[in-house]
Formats: sequence, structure tokens, C-alpha cells
Amino acid sequence: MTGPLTFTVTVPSRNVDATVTVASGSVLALLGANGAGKSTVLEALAGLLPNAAVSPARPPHAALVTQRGELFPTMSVLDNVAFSPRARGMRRAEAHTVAMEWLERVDAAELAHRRVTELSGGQARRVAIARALASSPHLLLLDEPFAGLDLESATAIRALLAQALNGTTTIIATHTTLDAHALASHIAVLDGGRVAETGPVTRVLSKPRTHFAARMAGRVLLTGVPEPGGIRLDTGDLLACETESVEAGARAAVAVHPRDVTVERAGIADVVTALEPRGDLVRIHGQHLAADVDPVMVPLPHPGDSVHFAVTAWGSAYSL
Amino acid sequence: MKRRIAASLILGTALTLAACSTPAENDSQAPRPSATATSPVAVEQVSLDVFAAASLTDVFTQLGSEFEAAHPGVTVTFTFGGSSDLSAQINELAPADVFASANEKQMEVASDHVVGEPQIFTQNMLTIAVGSGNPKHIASLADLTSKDVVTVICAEQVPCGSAALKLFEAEGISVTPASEEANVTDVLGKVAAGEADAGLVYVTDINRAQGVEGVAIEGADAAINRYPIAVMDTGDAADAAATFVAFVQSARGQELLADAGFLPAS
Amino acid sequence: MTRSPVPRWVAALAVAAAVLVVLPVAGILARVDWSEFGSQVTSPGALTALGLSLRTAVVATAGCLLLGVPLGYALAVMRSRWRSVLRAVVLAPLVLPPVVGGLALLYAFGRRGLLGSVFNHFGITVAFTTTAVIIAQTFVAMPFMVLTTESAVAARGTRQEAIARMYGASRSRTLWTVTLPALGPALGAGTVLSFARAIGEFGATLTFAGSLEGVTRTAPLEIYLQREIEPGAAVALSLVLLIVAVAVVAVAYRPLTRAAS
Repeated sequence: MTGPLTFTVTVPSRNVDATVTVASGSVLALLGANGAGKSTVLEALAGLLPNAAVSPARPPHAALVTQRGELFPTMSVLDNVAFSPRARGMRRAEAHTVAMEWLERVDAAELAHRRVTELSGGQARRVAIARALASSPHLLLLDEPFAGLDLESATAIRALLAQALNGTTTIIATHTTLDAHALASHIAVLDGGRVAETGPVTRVLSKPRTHFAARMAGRVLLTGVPEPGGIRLDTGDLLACETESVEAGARAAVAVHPRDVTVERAGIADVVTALEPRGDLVRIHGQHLAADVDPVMVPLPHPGDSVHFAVTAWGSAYSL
Repeated sequence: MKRRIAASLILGTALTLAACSTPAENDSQAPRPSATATSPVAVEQVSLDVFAAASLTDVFTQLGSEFEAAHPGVTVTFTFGGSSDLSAQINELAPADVFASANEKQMEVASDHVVGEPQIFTQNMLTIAVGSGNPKHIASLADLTSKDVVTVICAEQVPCGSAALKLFEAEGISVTPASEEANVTDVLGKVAAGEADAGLVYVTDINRAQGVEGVAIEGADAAINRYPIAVMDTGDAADAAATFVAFVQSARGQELLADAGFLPAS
Repeated sequence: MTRSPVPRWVAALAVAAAVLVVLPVAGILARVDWSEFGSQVTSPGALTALGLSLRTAVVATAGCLLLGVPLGYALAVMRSRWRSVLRAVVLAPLVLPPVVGGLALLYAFGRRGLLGSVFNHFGITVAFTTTAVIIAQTFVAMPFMVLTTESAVAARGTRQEAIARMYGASRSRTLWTVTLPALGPALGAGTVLSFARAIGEFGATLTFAGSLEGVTRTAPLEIYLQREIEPGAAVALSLVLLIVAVAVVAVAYRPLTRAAS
């Protein structure tokens, strides 16, 4: 299959109405917070949701790997991986050979004759991936493939996926940008059942055009109108920055990381909405901006207090 | 957890039903107290318990009414059933003043409780039961040897069965029965249902059953079943019991028995 | 020492229930004449009857598997509004008095029965044959298989089957490789219960199949006959059947609890 694949998934009962496009042979990351509808989209594409509508048509030969693995508990690992080849007509011995190859690719060959119930989380995940890949899917769907795994397993599986996905059209649902960066070429950001923004991974995550995408990338979006000298932000303040990349007549946006924002006596006026622990730092959230501060050095404000933020570093502005 | 509850429920049901399916539930043989006419108010009320074989149901019920009419104050309560059931109950000390058995063997079984000596009060002989209209035109025992005829008899260990075999031997014929039932009622049932073409039962059973006719057997007197009657000690009306036994053996009693198809006692 | 979680009144009721069930069994045990027991249960009639019972019960159980499992499966997945009606009819043998069941079989398969009259026309009789015994046993035992299968299938949901379909498996392959193995424990329980019910079947057999040594006189019918002849032998044979039933259920219950835990 050549050419990009576009699907519109509509599931009214779960408030999902999303259109995703994935280029043949490439990996699309479906990025969204928990509950955004990522699993719904993937399950609908896999044909596992009875009350979902997929247009133009459900992709044939899709394979979904879920967080729970969902291997067939009464079969051995090898039979699980060989299931699809056998179901599609391959003879038993041949299917077993194919299955062993895939088990080796996912570094789980020694598990071939184990019972599914004896596997650890990481092991089951590998086998599930092997089962999906062994089915030669036209569309591979991975739902949070690293969720619930310890760091070592996650790293190993991420590495093997980076290799194994070569050439397979894949959609991978995730809530971390690491997976998008590591495995995908394009990204679709899902918010409240709708696609907020799509585009190449680096562009969307470094130059997000929606607040939500910016949040997913760990940044805050400042928007405004270009002026001589910078951008007149919607807050009223002037941010001195380069505006070369902004098209004439378009609104401008700057993505700012909270580590580049400080709390000062003067600057962009804001009101504290929340305090979020970030390791040993605290992220002070405002309505327009957020700043990561060290509570040892800086007295913490309370929600509702007015603060002033100063942006110490920023990327170049771009068109919204 | 849900599976455990379901399993327990199924198990409980299974156990209950397994208990239900053991032979103790032979409804047709279960002795049932039958209604009797109440006697007019008299000075002394006596309740007479009579255990009698099922084949005596109609006759004895009539005998009982006449007895009550002749002896004001006496109420006769009948328990009809298979003789083996009755003897077993008597041995478990069920209250019985009189026991009329369909064969001598069961009277033997209950002999510990017999007062005095049992006496033969009537006899019965076999006949061929056939369906209404005798569709297979059966006229004699010899017809039962035909492959076309499905015959059912009692098992040989039971009196009506041994009598049947005796008759076959006397005729010099060999009959292959499709079934050998444990009692006459089951034989009759199969003929009445049309499953069997012929069954060997007692003459008196024909009158009592629906949907069957009798074909007389020549030489049926070669195998006669003797019915004993006796006073039993598990009841509490010994005098009335003796009187009842005498009544059964009296001319009137014998007349009623003969009307029903029974043979005289000797 | 921690207190048992069972409230006292529940324990008392449980004991009463146990007594109700155990007492009749104890009654049988008390009545057995142990000196005669050996000869009574090994008499030719008894051995023939027991052998016939075992053979027919095994075939009947196989019949229950072959017919009852598909029926239970269909009941669990069908969406028609006739579903509850069908289920009630299928489970009727559970509550029918066995003699009534026998009559029903007679009206269906007897010489004058709905289907039986057709068979009769071609010279085939069902009544009075060992086949009739097997039919009667299958009839009364099948509801157990249907019940256990249906609840197991319904409890399982259809997720695994959907995944199998996603991977290209046909309905037949899915049923054979995914659904049936997963139902294993439930099928095992249903098999054992059906077997126990089949081997204990009496009323329907008596009415429909008849009683001929070696052909249709199963153990319960032999007991019924012995009651007229030698009640002691009836008790002895009853005890044997009781032991078989208890053993069968004891063997069955272990896999059930293992599956549930």
C-alpha cells in the first residue's frame, strides 16, 4: 500500500471525532493526556469497538497491541505469535518458524514454550508485539507500549521497536513526548476526542500552535501580534524577540519553557492558579505563563496571589 | 467469586436432583391413604387400618364401605400399594391392623408382625393385556412368539413374572420379551401407551385399567397367584381386624372378589 | 487466634443443612448388611446393571457435550427476544419429574410418538433399546451442560474472540482454538455434573426404555427391581451408586475451585 492513509474515527458514546493521517511505512505518534481518546481511536481502527464508525473504511489487516498485552491465555507463547499466520492459511511448521523469527527479533526467543500466565509484564509486552508484527499488518497500532514497564524494560523495548518498525505503517499512542521523538516522524495531538494539531514531530513539539500541544511539549504558548521590536502579547506586554519567521499579517507565537521564566517584581502581570511539584523544583502556574522555581531560594506564592513573570530566554517567534 | 457461587448453586442443585432420582420416588407404587366414607356417630369410635395390595383397590374399597355400614363406629382407612412397599412399611412399624398381600412372599417378609396364621382369601391368574381393539389380533400365548409382537412381562423374580414363565413352559413356547418390569403396573403402562402389543398381567388388572383389553389364556390355571390376608400387630384394633378378615372370607366378600375377576380361595 | 468470620446463626443453619443431607446417607450406611454386601453387589444382575449404567452414562455425557455445549454457547451469544423462552424450555428437564420426562420422551420417540411413528414406519424402534436409555439420560443431563456452558461463555465476554478475528481467524478457528480451551474448566464441571445425573437417571428410563437385563436395566432400575425381591440387595446397590456419585463430584470440584481462584 502506497500513499498516505487517512481515517476518520467517530465514536459518539465516548465523544471522539478524530481524523488521522499516516504516511505509508511511517510512524505517527498520537499524543494526548489520559482520557483524551487515544485508546478509543486505536481500538476503533482495529475493529474492536462495535459502536465506532470508521471512514472511509476500517483498515484491513490491522494489529493492535494494548497495554494489557491480551495474549491468548490457553496457548503457549509460540502459538500466540504463530496465531495470525496460521489463521491466514500458513501451515503449522512454517508458522512456527515465522513465529520464532519474530520472537528472536523482540529478544524473547527463550520464552517460546512458556505458558502465557507465567510471563512478566515486560515479557508479555514483547510477545504481544511479536504477535502483532508476525501478522504482517498493514497498519500496526500500539497503545502506550511502554506503560507500566520498569525503566530497563521500557528502554529495551523502545530500542527494539525502533528497529522492528522499519517500513511498517504504525500509529503509536502515548502521553510522553519521548516516544514521539524516539519513534515517530509525525505527530497528532489529541485533546478531548479531537485532533488539536498535526505535523512533523520536531515542528509540533518545538513550535506548537495550540496551547494544548505546547503543554504536551512541556512549554507555554505566548501569542500576540508582531510589532516593531517584538511581539505585542495578548497580555499587553511587549516581548522583544525576532519576528523574521512570522508571515506578514499573521499572528505570532512563542513557545517558552518554564525553566526560562522567573518570578520578579515587575514583568508580565499574572495571577497564580496552581503550584505543581516538579522533582526538587516547583512550577508556579499562572493564567498566561508558568515558572519553575527552587522553593529553597524563592518564597512560594499562594494560589490567587498576583505575580510578575519575566521571560529570560525564548525561541524565535513563528506564525500561528 | 461469582464462579464459586455459581458452582455451589449448580452443585447444590445437582445433589438435590441426584437424591430425587433414586428409586425411592416410584410414584405409582407409593402407598397413598385413600379417602373413606365417614361413619355415622356411634358410641365407640374404632379406626381400622388396612394395608392391601394395589390390585385389590376397587374391591376392598367396596368391601370397606359395606363393612362400615354393617359396623357403625368403625372407620376403615386403606393404604393401597405394592406388596413389597407395604411389607417394608409394616416392618418399620407403620400402624396396620390387616395386611392383604398379592403374594405369599411379602406376607413372609412381614411375618414377624403376623397375629395368628395368614389365610389365603383369593387367587388370581394371568391374562394377556392388549391395546384397545386388539390391533395385532392376539388370540393366544402362542401369538406372542411372533417377531411382530412386542411383549412385556414382569421380571421372573416377581410373582407375576414367575407365573408368566411357568405358563410359557407349560405351553412349550419361547417368548422374547422386550422388557421385564418390576411390577404389573409398569407392564400395564407400556401396553396402555401403545409401546407394547401384549403384556402378561392379572385378570383383575384388566378391569381396573384404561385403554387395555384382556385376552384369556387357555390353561392359565397352571400358574395361580395366591393372596394371603392376616391380622397384624402394629395396629391397635385387633378385634375389628379379625372381624374384617372374617368378612373378606365370608360369602359376601368372596362374591365381591369374584365380580372383580378374582378366583375363589381354593 | 482470630474469630471465624461466620456469624453464629449462619453456622447453625449450615449445620442443619449438612445434617439434612448427611442423615439419609448415614441411614443407608446403617442399613447395609455388610456380611451380604459383597455378594449382593457382585451378583450377575448387579454387575450387568452397573456396567450398563456406566456405558450408557458415558455415551450420554458425550452426547451432552456434543449437543449441550453448542446450545449453551448459542444461548449466551444470541440476541433474539426468544432467548429467554428457549432457555426456559431447554432447562425444563431440570424441574420436570423424571417420570413426566419419560412420558414426554415416549410421546416424541415412542411407537406412536411424533418422531417415533416416522421411525416405526421404516422399521426402526427406539423404545426398549439401549439407545432409548441413552436418549433418556441425555435428555435429563443436558441442562447441566447447557447451564454451565452458557454462564461461562457469558461471563467471559467476547474480547478474546474479537482479537482473534482481528488477526484473521475464521469463526470456526476462533471457537476451536480460543473459546473452547478457555471454557475448559466450565466444560469439565458440566461434563461431570451431566455424568452424575445420567448415571442416576431412573424415572424417564423406566417409562421410556423399559427394563431388560443387559439391555435397558440400569443400576437404578436394578435397585427398583430388588426392592420387590431382596430389599437388602437394593440397599447395597444404592450404596454403590451413592459412592460413585460422591466420588464423581469430589473429583469434579477440585478443578472448579482451581479455575475460580
